[in-house]
Amino acid sequence: MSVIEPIDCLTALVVGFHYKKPRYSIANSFNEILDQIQDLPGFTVSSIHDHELVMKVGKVKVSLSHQNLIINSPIVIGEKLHSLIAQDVNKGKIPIPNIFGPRFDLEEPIMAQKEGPKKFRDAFIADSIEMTRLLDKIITGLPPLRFAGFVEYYVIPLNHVTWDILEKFNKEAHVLDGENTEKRSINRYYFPKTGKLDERCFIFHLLKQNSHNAPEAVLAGASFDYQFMPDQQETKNLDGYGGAENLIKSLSTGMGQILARSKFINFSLRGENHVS
Amino acid sequence: MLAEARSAEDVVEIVEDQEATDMQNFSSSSPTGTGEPAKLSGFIKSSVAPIVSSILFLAPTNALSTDHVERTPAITNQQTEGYTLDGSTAHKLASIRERYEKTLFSYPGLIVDVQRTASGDPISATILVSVDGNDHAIQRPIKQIGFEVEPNMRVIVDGIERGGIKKIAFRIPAPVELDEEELDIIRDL
Repeated sequence: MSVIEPIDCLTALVVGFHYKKPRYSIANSFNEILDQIQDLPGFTVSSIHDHELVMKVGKVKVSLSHQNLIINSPIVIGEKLHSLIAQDVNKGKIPIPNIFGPRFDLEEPIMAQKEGPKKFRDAFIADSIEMTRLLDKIITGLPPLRFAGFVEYYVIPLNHVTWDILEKFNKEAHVLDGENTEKRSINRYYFPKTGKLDERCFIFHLLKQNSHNAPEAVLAGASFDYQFMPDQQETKNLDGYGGAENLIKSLSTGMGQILARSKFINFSLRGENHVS
Repeated sequence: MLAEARSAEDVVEIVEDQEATDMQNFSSSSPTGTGEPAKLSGFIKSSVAPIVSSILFLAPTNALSTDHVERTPAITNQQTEGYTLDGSTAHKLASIRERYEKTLFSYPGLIVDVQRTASGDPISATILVSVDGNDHAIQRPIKQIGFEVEPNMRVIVDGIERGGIKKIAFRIPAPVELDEEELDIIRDL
């Protein structure tokens, strides 16, 4: 069996820009947007209502409204992760903790991730950058931002790996003869403004279903949300960050640095040495 | 972005095809509306797409409940193509953007005054535009500028052509990363 690394557990991505103030006039550009991209392969409009346009372009889903622009990937599962999960499925069903939120189409089949998680992330970032650039151009500039964020979603196969941070909730509580069978946790970390860098926020969401009542619940979920929060006294839009590419890549890189320097997704194969 | 708490009760389910027989078997055992979870054995041969064919994504449901489980449509080959960079959406979006709008010129500008209503809402701004060293004052409505401006704020004034129509647009200059040598040159100016 090949060694699974944390990146192999990456299942979905989101990038979002939330405006400082609502701009209702964005809805005036919906027809223009649709005219420009309607011929792209895989294009469908999911809904247009309440000043919000939701559409799919290629593999990404885009939601543009008077309050924000959010782009999300499909939910995918990589070959390595699947090979591990496949060993457990004789039991019938494996519930995945739903850390994904309402932006994802939960009724759709999970997609295969043939090219590996790194290429999946690169492709999503490239799509997001170009989509943001195009929309920014058509609506003549995204409004100044309240915050911008990048989210990564992971699924951890607990039958096969020991996830350190989850184990700690059990061991370090020192509950005699007790086992932590369920864990739901949202943790927020703030990074103050330093030099050119805005104030930043990192939100770690952990979800493990109750394995006592649902013994088949052998997967845990984690999401990591990294946000830039510009000073509300200043006016900062995409150009203030050097454009969509700079902003999205800075968010992705910042997220990677925090994950690399932290123990959020440290795990080891059961009975083997650490992988991080 | 995910500041709002998500419904953690919902789960997504992966189901393995244990017997891998045929679709007909699946259809005939359709239990929708019976309150029973879907019996999915015998769904989908895995020969075409070994990774995804054995995965079925069900509607969100409660981890502790077997009610309200809905079946998904059959997974097609198209759905098993996965995420690919070849002929990517990004490339096509970039070419649309390049066709959509052309920038004819860009000049630096300085907001010198913002005209406001009695209640303080901004109506228009006076901008000093530097065109090849010659300053020109122009006044434009805030609506056309497209973002909040304040006196002494620097902007870039672009002449753009969109769909055969030429017009002026405004943007906030991007911060420039300068190395020490470049900074020295600027300080010496």
